[in-house]
Amino acid sequence: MALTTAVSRAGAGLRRTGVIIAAAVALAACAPVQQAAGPATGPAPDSFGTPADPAAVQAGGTLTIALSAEPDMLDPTLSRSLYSRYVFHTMCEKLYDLDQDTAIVPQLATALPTISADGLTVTIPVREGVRFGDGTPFDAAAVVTSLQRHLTMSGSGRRSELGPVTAVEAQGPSTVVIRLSSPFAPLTAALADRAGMVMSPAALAQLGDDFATAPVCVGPFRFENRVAQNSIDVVRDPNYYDAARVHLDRITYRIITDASIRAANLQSGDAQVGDSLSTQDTPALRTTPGITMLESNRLGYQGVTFNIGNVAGQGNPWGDVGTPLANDARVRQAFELSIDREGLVRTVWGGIYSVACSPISPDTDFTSEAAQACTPHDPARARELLQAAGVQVPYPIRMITSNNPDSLRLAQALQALVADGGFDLQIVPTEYSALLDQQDRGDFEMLQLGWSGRIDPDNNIANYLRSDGGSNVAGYSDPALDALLDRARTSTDHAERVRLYGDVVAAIQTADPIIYLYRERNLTGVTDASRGCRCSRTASCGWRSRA
Amino acid sequence: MRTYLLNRLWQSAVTLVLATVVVFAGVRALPGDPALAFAGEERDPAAIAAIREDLGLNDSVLVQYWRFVTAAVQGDLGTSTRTGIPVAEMIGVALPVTIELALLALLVAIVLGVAAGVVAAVRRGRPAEWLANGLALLGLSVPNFWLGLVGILYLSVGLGLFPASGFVPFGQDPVATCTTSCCPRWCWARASRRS
Repeated sequence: MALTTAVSRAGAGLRRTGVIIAAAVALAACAPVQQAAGPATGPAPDSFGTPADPAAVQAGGTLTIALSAEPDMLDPTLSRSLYSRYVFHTMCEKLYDLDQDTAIVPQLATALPTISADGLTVTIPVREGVRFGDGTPFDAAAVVTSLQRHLTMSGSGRRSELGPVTAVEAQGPSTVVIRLSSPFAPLTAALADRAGMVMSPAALAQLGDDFATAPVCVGPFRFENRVAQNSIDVVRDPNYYDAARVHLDRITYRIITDASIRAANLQSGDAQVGDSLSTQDTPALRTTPGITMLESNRLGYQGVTFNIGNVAGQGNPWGDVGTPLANDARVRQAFELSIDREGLVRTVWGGIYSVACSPISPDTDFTSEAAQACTPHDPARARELLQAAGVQVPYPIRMITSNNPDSLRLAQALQALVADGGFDLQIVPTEYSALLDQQDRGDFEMLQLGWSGRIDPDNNIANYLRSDGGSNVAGYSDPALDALLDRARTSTDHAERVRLYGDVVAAIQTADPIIYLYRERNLTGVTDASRGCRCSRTASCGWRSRA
Repeated sequence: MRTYLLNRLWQSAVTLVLATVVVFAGVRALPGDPALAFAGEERDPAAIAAIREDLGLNDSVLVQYWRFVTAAVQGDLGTSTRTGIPVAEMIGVALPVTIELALLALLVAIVLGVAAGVVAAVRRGRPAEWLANGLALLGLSVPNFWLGLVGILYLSVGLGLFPASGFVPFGQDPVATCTTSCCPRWCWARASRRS
């Protein structure tokens, strides 16, 4: 059996970001998590974990985390999978981080960025006296090196996240200046993700493109070893600026892809943390003594996308698909009216996930009443709309969906629901990479896929619905929506952005090119032996969360 | 004898070449665009073009095949597109574990199988033979992934006898090897199947 100890990073977080209230809320939210006996009727209150009592913290020990999927390259520039974030969380600090309320707080930076009046110059003060895992000093020049690599490296997954950056320079050892060609509000949020991770210039010089084989950043732990498809080990880093507060010797991430085996490892005590547990195991785990479930909404969504104008594939001009479903918004509205989201989530996910009606996460400070507006379930009205549109009822729709069991269960529930509203949904299970290919070629009528979500609403909408969006597979083009999105992206006034995104949601719901269905929740199990685990909404758990 | 060996040798060479062709062509015959699948969620056209360039997907299939074969002959199996780790290194780490597990599983299977066989032979026509045969049949019929899962549930979660997963090399700690890697997950299933 692995040695287990409790750990606490809470004290530092509380002092630095003043989230005592948030912690108290989480404490209160923890109690009801264990109550749900029998079938769940709704999502449990959000719970991110509570700080451990510093007096009860034991130094040393190994923590084993059962990960649901293997992270891809451990290189902040090249990483494309969300699971790499779990590991980066303990070994690669970012310029900014998210707290429990999904607010952006400084991490390697010392304050939020100062943005010039014209929005084109962003100045970021960074920490001094910090060292990388290899002992080399961290400074503004190192930040510049990492950002340049994100911007210029071939195959960089960060290029588009950083927006219209034209230059990055260091002014002295502790100031980074980023210059933009046009104002870009989502930049700060991007720097609170992989784009904000700072890599050791010495390690970069030595490893170059192979940085992923032995990554070095600033973090409470540093990379030790990786066995592909099996495990990743990180060990306590004595160079870390706050090393006195790191109590664990080592964290082992063990990759266990089967959800039931993850739950079993948690129950047997072989793993102290298990991520992405299944909605089927969750009700039982909630009532298991010695295990606490941490549950919170993810930032992304799952939904269905219609083919509005993608006739010749992405990159070619949009055209006329020629079906009422593509050309008449009433048909798509009728489809949305036929969906009972509550019922869907209850049937397919045991009521554990939450419903979603818009791409804006209700948990970020970009949300508003307008942004969470929801089309009610009204099959009678759906039939009226179909009649008014003068289309054949039941209206046949072919939906391509990923051929895994969960997606198919969702598709079947959807099929049953929309029948009431006058739709005949035909499910076409498709292998995942073929599905991606079909969606880009425009070879579909409707498809079901989701998006993992980012903090800034721009990242959750523009890519999918702007006329020139990189993933606008719907082939949707609405100059009014484009103008709204541009204003929201370039505005630096938060209240105005919130209002604009409310308008964006209204515009999307009128035309319905994408219908948002539900939000997955992070379902993380933690054993009592490892008190103090905290999770954030971006699907990363660990002992570094400030919140 | 020499001609026999030479014959065998060129036949294996042809088989190997055919195998590389099948593997190479098979992967490319799959539906979908590898660059697209690889890009995942962040797939703007520029990123996809960069991935194509990096993976050499813009070259003709023959050029790609030639590159694959020449590198493989020199012992370079490439790097994992997913993790960036050299494939040879991944095999080097996994192979000893696999061999060790296979040998230990074989050992357990031989001990149990021979014992059951002896019992069945000595007690021919008696209940003991039926029991041994019944167990053997059960072991053959029950899918081992299911047996593994049940084993974990009862032996690790329920009784807490073994860890639910993990591996400790035999040379390091034979007892731990048995409890972590051999007994709970693999050997039980395998042993039952072979018995």
